[in-house]
Amino acid sequence: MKNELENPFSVTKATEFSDVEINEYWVSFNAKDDKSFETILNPTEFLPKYLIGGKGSGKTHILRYFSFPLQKIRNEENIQTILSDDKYIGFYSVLHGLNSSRFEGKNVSQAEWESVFEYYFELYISDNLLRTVQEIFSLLQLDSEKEKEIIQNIIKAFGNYEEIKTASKISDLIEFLAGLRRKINSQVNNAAFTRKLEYDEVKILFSPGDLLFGIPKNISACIEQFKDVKFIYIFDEYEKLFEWQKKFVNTLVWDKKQPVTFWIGARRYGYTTRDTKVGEVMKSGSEFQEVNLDEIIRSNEELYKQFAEKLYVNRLIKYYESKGLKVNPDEIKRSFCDRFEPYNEAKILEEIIQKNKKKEFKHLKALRKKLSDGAKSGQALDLHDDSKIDKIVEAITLNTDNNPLEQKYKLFYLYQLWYSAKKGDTFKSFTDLINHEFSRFQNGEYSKFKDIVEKRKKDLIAQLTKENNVKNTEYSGIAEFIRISEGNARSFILILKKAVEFAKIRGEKPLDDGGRISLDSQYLAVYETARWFYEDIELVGETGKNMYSSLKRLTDYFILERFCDKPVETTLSCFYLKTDRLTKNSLDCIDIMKMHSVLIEDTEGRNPKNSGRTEKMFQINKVLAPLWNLPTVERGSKSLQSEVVEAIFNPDYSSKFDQHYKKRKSELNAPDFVKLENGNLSNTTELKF
Amino acid sequence: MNYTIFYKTSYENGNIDCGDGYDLFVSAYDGCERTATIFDKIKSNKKIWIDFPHYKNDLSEEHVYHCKSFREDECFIDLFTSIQLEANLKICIDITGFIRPHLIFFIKYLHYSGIKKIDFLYSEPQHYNNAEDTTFSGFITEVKVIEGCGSPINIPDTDNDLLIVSAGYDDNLIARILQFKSKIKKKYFLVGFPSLQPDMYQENILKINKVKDSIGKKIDKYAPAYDPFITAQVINEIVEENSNHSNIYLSPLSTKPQALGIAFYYLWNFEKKPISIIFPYSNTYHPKTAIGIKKTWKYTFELP
Repeated sequence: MKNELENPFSVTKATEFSDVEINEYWVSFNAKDDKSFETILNPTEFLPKYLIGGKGSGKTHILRYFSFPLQKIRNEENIQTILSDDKYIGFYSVLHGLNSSRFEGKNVSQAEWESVFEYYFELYISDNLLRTVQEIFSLLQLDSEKEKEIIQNIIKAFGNYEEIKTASKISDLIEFLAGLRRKINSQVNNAAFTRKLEYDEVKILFSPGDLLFGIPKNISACIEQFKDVKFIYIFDEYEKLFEWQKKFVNTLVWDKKQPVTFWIGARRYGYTTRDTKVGEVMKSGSEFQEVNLDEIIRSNEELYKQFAEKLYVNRLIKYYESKGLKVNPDEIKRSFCDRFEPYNEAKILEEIIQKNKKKEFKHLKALRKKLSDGAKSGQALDLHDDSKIDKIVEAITLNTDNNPLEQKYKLFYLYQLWYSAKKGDTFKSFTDLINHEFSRFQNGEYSKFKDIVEKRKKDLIAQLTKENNVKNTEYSGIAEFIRISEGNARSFILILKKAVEFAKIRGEKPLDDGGRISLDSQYLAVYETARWFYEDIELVGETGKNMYSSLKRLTDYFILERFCDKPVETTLSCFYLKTDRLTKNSLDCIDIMKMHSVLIEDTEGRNPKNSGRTEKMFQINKVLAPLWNLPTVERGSKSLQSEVVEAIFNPDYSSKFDQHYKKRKSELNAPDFVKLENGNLSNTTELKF
Repeated sequence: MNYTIFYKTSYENGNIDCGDGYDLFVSAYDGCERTATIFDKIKSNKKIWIDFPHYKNDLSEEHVYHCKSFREDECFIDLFTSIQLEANLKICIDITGFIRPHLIFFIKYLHYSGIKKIDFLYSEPQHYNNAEDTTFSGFITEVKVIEGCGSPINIPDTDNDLLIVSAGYDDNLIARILQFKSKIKKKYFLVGFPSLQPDMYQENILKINKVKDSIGKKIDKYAPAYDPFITAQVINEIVEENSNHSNIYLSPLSTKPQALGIAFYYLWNFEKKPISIIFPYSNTYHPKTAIGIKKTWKYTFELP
């Protein structure tokens, strides 16, 4: 990380860390409790693990941490300690290197591909195994006779034993296996032209498992120090495999033989099957353990907070130490947190006032237009022309001291009254009532505005920022960054990286004494992180296209609910669905959005009164919220009717979305408010379409 | 090996010199003036328009070979069956309208069939529609090794893998490649400089910058956007700088001449180095993104 020292958060992916850095930057999740990574994964037990998590959840960091190169670092290269204390060796392999998509098509049958792939897979993984074993033998200073004995035991399994029986060293075996892989690679490559595989070149020379299980078994049997040592094959990027290739890996896991076990790392969307080749379905709990990182972390908010704090403090310590400075972790944490300019709504309002110094506020202009349109269409009570509009606007601005937010409070109330108007109501009576209540509010007396301010402030500020093209800096401060990162360490570190970058560009000296990170820099950091998260969703093909289209419709709907004259819900960010009424297409799309952490499901859901059914609750990932100026707090929620859900998530019904959208828009905006059956838009979350 | 010693020349306004002419000329129909002009002017015993299904053309002209499959290894089967490929066949390919993975597969097939020498033509447009916002491809359907473009060597220890991306206009393609090989630490971006037109360099930089958070750490290198031989030379330098490299992944996401450079480097090295060419595939490409014809380059490949 030497070149990155100007920003302690510049590395956001474990892949970019060296082994030493993986060790140095390791922060365990709740190290003292039963939810630490060490306790959950427990390398001393045989139960295989599937480590599942979204991008940036820390899988690779964790898997590499338990690999042999890291064991060496932690044990200062002392192989005896590794064998006697750790009691396991981690053999880490990244499956992308297989280029597994080569094993398909080209006029070759599926059965042939399966056979060749399985053979190749064993050769490929054995290379890593043998190279590590070779290093261990060297560290153990194993005598050559012992090595020869082990190699001879292994190669007896080969069908062409006579040809290779002179092999006596691990390097001989490595070279021989490389030759076999070379033949297969050539055949697979050339099949694109020849449209076939030459049988003699890909002929299988040993039984499945002879190497993967046979080599460890032989070593355990021949070398005393290995007696109780587990061989853990750690496979990262399981999601890169085809479905039938995953089943093959599952079969290895299911059929594991001592002293071997497996840890499989997979993205959530790639963890698609528990099937094995033999028709058995692996049983979670008894045959393997599923470790869902996202769920573990998200369900322990306080622990994640502590974990995230350790992560950034650890990076800062390394940064300041590299500058030759003495550091105190508590002091670093305090001074870094203090550099984040706190959220200040007065600053936002001042910017809006300055922007509109010589012109009328946009919300007032919009009011004029709505009143005028309403007068023309007969939807504006006693207004039949524009003659009284000035008076209404004056009443709204009265005693607000040009404060746009106070005007917005009044407007919100006005639109509510307009919507629920009865026969004989006039705008004069409304504005009198509004100003009466507002006066009580200003005098500290009980008033309708107490409730409006308490519940609507964030939404109305968001409206003002959007109308005036001003940054909504509500997403600010370390605590908020941790919260909106939704348990995803990479998102959190990326926000910090960008906050430091933007602050540096602005000359704010974010890492120096007396420096700061302005609200502007923080806003840009969360916005850019949201953009990265959105654009980096790993989806291809029709599925990807549909997911993005559905997300667009969903966010359009949420934007409509927040940026309207009469928002029904407060800081709406969650929605409920009745899944038993949905089509497979919609459910699949929702599932994909969940897999990619675009939607976060509340595991508890809710049980509406008398329905007898549980509704599922979802929130758009908080880290995405700044893209659309949506709230991140889990306060307002809305039950979406099945027709609307279908129009949003089912590509076959997406053409109906416009219709639902327009109808909802009318219901939420003056002067086209559409009254519901009871003549009032109540606080209920149920909406009629 | 010095890759820059191979022959290249250029002609203005499509006025190409074909010498004695060719035995076979192949071009991809993309509805652009620049490919049509060359197709008319080239001297060849046999001329073939390749009609890719990605472009959704509706062609009924003579000399058209309709590809029935989107896949590069399937779409030319009938064509190759109908042509007698001999080592001394004089072949010229206008790469201008070709889809990159299909072009590279096509060249690999010719090489596999024993062809040692091929002339390639590439015509620069006057300009592209909407410059920075020009998108050439639709939604990505998959990312994979181009058929037939792997290596007999594949190193299981992936710690020192190299990803070398010739990066251009389409940031979506760059993002997909980086996701596909997200575990590779060492990433090189080969930027076209000088670019085909003065403003294109900046446009490329803007596009690459859009996906900088998906990229992480990278090292930028430069090669002229119109020169496959310098492109191959720069790739060679990158590989030599990383003598401890494990697998090498090349991804041609910029200009066709640079894609040609990647193919050239690959063909000279794939037997002895663990090289693969990877590409993010789309079944939709937008033809007619280029306007006019400015300069036509001719590159002569001599292959091992």
